[in-house]
Formats: sequence, structure tokens, C-alpha cells
Amino acid sequence: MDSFDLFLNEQMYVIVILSIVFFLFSCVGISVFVTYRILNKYNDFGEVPVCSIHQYSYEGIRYKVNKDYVSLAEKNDYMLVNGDNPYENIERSIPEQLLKNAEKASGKTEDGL
Amino acid sequence: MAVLCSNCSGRLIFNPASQQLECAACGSKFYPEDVKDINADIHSKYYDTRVYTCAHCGAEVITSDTEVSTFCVYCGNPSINFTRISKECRPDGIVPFQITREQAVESVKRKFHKNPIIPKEVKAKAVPENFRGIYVPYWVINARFTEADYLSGVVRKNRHDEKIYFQRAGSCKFTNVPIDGSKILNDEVSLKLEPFYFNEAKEFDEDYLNGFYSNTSDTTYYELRESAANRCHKLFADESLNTVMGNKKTLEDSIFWIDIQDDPLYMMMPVWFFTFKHKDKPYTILINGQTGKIVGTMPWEKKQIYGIFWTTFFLILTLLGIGFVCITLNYKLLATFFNQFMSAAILLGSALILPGTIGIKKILKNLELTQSDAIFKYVKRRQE
Repeated sequence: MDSFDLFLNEQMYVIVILSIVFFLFSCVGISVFVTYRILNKYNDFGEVPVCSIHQYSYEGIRYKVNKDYVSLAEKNDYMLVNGDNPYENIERSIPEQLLKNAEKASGKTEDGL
Repeated sequence: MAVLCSNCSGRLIFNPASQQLECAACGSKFYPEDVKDINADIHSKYYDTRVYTCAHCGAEVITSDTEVSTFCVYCGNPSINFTRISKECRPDGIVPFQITREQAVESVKRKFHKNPIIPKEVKAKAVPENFRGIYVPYWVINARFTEADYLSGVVRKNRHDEKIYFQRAGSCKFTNVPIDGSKILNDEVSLKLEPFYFNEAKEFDEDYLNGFYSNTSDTTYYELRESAANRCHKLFADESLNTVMGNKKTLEDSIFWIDIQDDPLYMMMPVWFFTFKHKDKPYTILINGQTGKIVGTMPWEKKQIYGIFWTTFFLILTLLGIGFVCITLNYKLLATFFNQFMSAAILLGSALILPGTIGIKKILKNLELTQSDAIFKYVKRRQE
């Protein structure tokens, strides 16, 4: 049996169909990616700056809990323990502009502030 | 209110190139801080804006400048009359424009240069008349922040991937975090405009507004706190993720609280808005008026994009087809080469389909932000 006969072999149909599916999938994948890269380069301007916490915080994070290998049960307890607002009853002075905006917004909603 | 030239009473306009107020009539130059405001005492807490009303449709156009040649954006009628002065809370500081209108136009044109995908009619719209300098309100906050995170990471153990979980909780002090104070600007867009450098900020003086437009903050304290909390949470969570081991690090769950310290600073930041319409859709490209950074997604020629997609598609398909025939007919040298090529193409295609789809979705989302009707109207309200 030469190569051409093999090509006409019944089993080849399955291989051909499977190959077409794989080929189309690969072509779509590569084409979509190439299109994305071109649009990204030529049409989409301005990326979100990569900011680190150190840009806005001199001290960084002071960790109270720093635990590895935790289970889901531990997680629920942990969220419960850490679930209170530490700043709950602190009153802050609010700039006049923000108060004015809240007054304007209160026309629509009572809890604008 | 904006002052006039002491030599000829001409209109003074702030020139970002010289950082001085320049008289359009006699060419005299003044530093904003040297120009005395005769109403300084009255204006210590507030500053004036001018409200113009359209005689045709009744709409209001607000500017801080002395110019009167505005026309209505709602009906396009030029019969617009000055009606009143409105007092606004005086911001604490201002970052003056460093980029001139010409520089903003040039930087956009540079992006268009040899760019085959942007339609020609859009390129033609990059003219000074379509660029407007607007001072956008920001709040610069100092805050205490507490967060508890539940994170995961995947580590490889004995040839198996194992997902492990981590707990992180702590607090942090944030200093000088800029938060966009205008509801009209999407937080995502304003974040892209950053960085702004506050070391170049000046004490607020309305003379800096001459020749530009400005807007007052319209957010409430509640909204400011929400935006600030989300911003700080992102920074905190990213840092926490850095402390866990493994790959595919994920933030599974988190809770956080913020306490904004008294008296956040009310600042004005310079932004150039390039607005135009393409196929009846409005587009707004933003340019940071301090650094010149361009933010936005330009429209594209659909034909070109489909052309790129289908050319790549058929090129790869043809190569795969040739390879398949070579392997089937057992052409020895070619068969070996194509065998490897096909395996690589199939693996590559499978691997790239997800990032490609996510990337295109991201670009379409950015395009939606650029096409925001609200931003377009916001700028158009400040027509010259």
C-alpha cells in the first residue's frame, strides 16, 4: 500500500477531520492573539501604572496575622475574629465641598453622606 | 475671578510653556502669584465661576474664564448670555499645566504617525480646536487602613500541584493617595492618567485657570471613602500576594476598612481632552497635562482588523495544510520539519487563545470607556 492509498484509507477520514478541528483551533488562537497584539500596540493608549504600596506608604504593612497552610474552617474563624471595623466610632471633619455635594445628592438619596 | 492685564486691560491666559500669564493683546507676562487679586479677602474660601445661559434652549455653560464667546453645546446656538457668578469652594492646591495645547496635539499626532489601523478621518481630527484643557478635581488623602486577606497559591509537591491557603491581616498608613473627585471620570480612566507629581503643585490661584476650564468636585464623602478604600485595598492585596509562596496566587476573600484622616486636600489636576465624533459615536482621549501621558482607545478600521485576522488565519492554516500533506505522503525532510512545526503551532494556538480573547475583551472595554457619552458631553459643555 503506497502513501496515496493510505491517504484514501477509511481511517484517514477520522484523522483528517480531527486534524482540521485542531488546525482551525490553532489558527483562531494565533490569529486572535496577533490581532490583540496589534490593537494593543497601535490603538490602546495608556496602561494602569504598576503601583506598589511603598509609593503611598512609608512604613508598609504591619502584619498582625501572618499564617501559612490554613484550612477553610480556620479561615471562617479568622474572618469572624478580624471582622470588626477598628475605626467604627471615629468622627472626622469633612471638607465643605464634600458636604455641599452630599446636600445636592440628598435630593436623590437620604444617605448621600 | 480672572484678572486683566495691568498694562492694557487685555485678557490674561496662562501659558504652560513659560508658566506665566500672558496678555493676548500687548504680550505682557506676569507670574500668577505676582498678580494681585483685589478681592483676595472675600475669596479666601471661595472662588468665582461664570455661568452662561443659552437664550435658545435654556441650558447652562459654566466656565471660570472671562471669555464670552461660548456657544451652547446642547443646541449649538451661539446666543449665549452671561447670567451670574457662582461661588465655589476654593481648592487647596493646583498642579498647573506643563504641556501646551500644541504639545498635546503633537503627541497625539505622533501616535497616529504611520499607524495604518486608525481611520484617516480620525487622524484629520487631531487639530487644536478639538483639544480642551480642563482642570479635573482630585482629593489627596491620608488614611489608616486595615485589611484581612485569605489567599491561595499553588505549589508543586512530589510531581503534583497542591493548592495551599494563607492568612494575612494587618494595618497600614497611606499618605498622599490621589482620588478622582469627579463622577464623570471613570475611576479606571483617572487611574491610567497617573502619575501626577505633587512636588510641582502650587497653592490654588484662579489665575492658573485662565485659558482653561475647570470643574468642581461632585462626589460625596461616602463615595470618596469608597473609592479610596478600593484603591488602598488593591495596593494592600497586591503586597499581601507578594508574601505568599507558589504560583497562581489568588486573593480568595478579604475584608477591609479605611479611616480617612481629617481635611483631605482638594486639588486641581491638568488634563487635556481630545474629543471627536467618528461614525456618530463620541470619543474622548485624555492627555495628562503634567506628564503628557496619553490615555484612551482609538477607533480602528474594521476592514484592516479583519484583514489582519484572516491573513494570519489563512497563513497558518496553509502552512498546517502543507505540513499535513507532507507528513501523510511521507516526504522525509519536510515531514520532520512540519511535524515539529505542526506540534508547535497547535500548542501555541491552544496556549494563545485565552490571553488573546482576554486581551481583545480588555481593549473593547477600554474602547467603551473612550466612547463614554458622559465624558464627551462633559467636555463639550466647555466649548470654546
